[in-house]
Amino acid sequence: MRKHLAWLLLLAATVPGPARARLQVVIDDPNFQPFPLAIPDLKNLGGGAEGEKLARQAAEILRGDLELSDFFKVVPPKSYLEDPRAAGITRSTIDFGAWFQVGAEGLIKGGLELAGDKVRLDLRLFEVARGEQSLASKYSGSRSQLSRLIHRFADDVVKHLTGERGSFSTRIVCVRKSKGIKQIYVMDADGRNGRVLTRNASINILPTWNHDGARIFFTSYIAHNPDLWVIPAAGGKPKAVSQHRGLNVGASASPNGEWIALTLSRDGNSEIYKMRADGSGLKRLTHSMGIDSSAAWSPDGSRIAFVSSRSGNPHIYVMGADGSGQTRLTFVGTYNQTPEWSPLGTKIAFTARDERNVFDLFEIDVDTREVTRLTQDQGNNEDPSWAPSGRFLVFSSTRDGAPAIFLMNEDGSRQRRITRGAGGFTTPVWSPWTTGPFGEKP
Amino acid sequence: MIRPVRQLTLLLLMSLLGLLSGCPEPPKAEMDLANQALEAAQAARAADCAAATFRSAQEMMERARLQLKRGQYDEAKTTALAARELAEKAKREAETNPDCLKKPEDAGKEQGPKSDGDAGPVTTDASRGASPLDDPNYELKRVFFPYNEASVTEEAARILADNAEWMKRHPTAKIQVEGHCDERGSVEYNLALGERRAQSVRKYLTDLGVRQSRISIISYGEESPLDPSSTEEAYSQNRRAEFRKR
Repeated sequence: MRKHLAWLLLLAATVPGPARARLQVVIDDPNFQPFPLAIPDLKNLGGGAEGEKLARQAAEILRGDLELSDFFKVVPPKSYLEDPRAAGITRSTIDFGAWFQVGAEGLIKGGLELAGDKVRLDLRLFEVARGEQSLASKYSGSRSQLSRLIHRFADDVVKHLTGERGSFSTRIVCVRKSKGIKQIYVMDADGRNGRVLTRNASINILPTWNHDGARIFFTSYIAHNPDLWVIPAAGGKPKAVSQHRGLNVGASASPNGEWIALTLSRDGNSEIYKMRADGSGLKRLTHSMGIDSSAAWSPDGSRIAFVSSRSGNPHIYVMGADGSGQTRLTFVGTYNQTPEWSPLGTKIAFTARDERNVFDLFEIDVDTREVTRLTQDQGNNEDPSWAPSGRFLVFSSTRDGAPAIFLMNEDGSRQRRITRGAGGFTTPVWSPWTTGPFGEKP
Repeated sequence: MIRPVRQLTLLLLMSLLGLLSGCPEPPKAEMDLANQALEAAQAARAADCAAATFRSAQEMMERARLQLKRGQYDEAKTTALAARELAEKAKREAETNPDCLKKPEDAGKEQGPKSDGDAGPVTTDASRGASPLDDPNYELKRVFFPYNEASVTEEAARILADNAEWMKRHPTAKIQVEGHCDERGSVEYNLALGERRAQSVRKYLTDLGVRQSRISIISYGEESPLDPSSTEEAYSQNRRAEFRKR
């Protein structure tokens, strides 16, 4: 019995877990203050000048992630007192007093080893006040996966300190206009690591994820009609899914992956239909004289939100996944568009044109129908989409000129831009928790 | 002098009332004005000097009468407006036709000796040849729409009448109507709106007697602006339907 207890104690000392009293960042506390973290550049553990560069880059990505999460505040690296040459990355070599002095409560240290194309990372989280290591992870992969590896550690830190799953291994798909052509563009949740998925001279629009984030549905005029296509999220050849005459647009995957809801105009008017993910088993869900569009599946799969102009102006409606019980949800405004359910299914975010003819983001509580404004007085803001954690929304905004992609907290606070570079970025959609193109486990 | 003015005021009032009440009334004012325009065109010898356009105007008027009889008042009104525009156009064409510039009696005198020459007599066919609508390479003109609207405006109706006439004179031609929107509003809704614009143009052309099988439609939503800038002027240029010969 004593022997067992000794083992348990030893385990508790090495494996972080709820059994041990440890630092916890309580994020839903009304007095919540971002938790101050210090993140010095990683140590270059062999790899020459290239390794040095990557070690700096890795720390930058990590700082960016943890700042974006809004749970943390990164203590500015310029204020760090510790001598980076003398200090190591293990507990015994760290001068915790020097970190305490600059106001850090948490400290992340790590080493990066570059060998050929291979990167090995050794990353550790310390609690400054107690002088203890509370999390340690090792990752390896190819050089091009560096940011993915760092995002995974950022998610581990979020999980460890807040108990919540982090969002940084998820991705965002949007449309990027380059050289006058709209292409489907995928990037990490921090806006980095972006790549163009489609490479055709046609028009590619309205991308959305399949249920597990492995594929992306989008509409393209490749075959001279707005058809629905699907392409692997890691890149590849697009395949046609729905090629009915007229519109094949605005797909939304059911959470179990069995169905997609979308807008077709094959019967002469824009209506919502559902079909199996391969395009078979077509079933019409709406029958109205107005324009019905922008289907969005609820997270439990039982309902579909959509836009209809059946009352004269476009408003948000909700129906059962079989088309039953079509109910109008919004009664304010004259132009409400692009509904997206929150991951808990309690709220729907949408774009509305307000009384000054400006487009802004709002959300409506599905039960109480209380409407809350999320953006105001900063250009046009459109096409909200929720992070799978429900903590953030991504959207496009013209506040800096050409449309760019922004994140904000679920309550509309801390709006920050994540795309740089030429061309407009529009219609972002956040991926689900993902097994993803790089094979990472959920 | 007073009576015609009064009559006009009355007509205007009636049409205004019709608009305000919102319930469909026979478009008497539009029908009358179209008839008057046709008579005026006839008086200007449009039947000879602008034959093609005049015939289109007459056909359009026939169509309006038919629609009126069927109780399709909204359609009849738009058609009557188009008939009137066409009749006025025929009158203008007749008045500026160089072969018809002389007074009828002079024309008669001129025609005698001329018939021996190369030019030949002024005939219906000759004046028809002068119409650009006979040219197989005639460029079908685009039409524009108000914000968030898909219905055909009076100005668009005039252009569509020409386009329909060209289709009739080139019975093997097939066209695609492209519906476009300005950049405001959601991408998906604009695709639906663009399609409605293309549909309403196609309906207008088929109402004028063009077979529907000759007209396909496609919507480009806000994806293919004429003017990519974000100004009201650009927006009004971008809300449009284009015609592509296939």
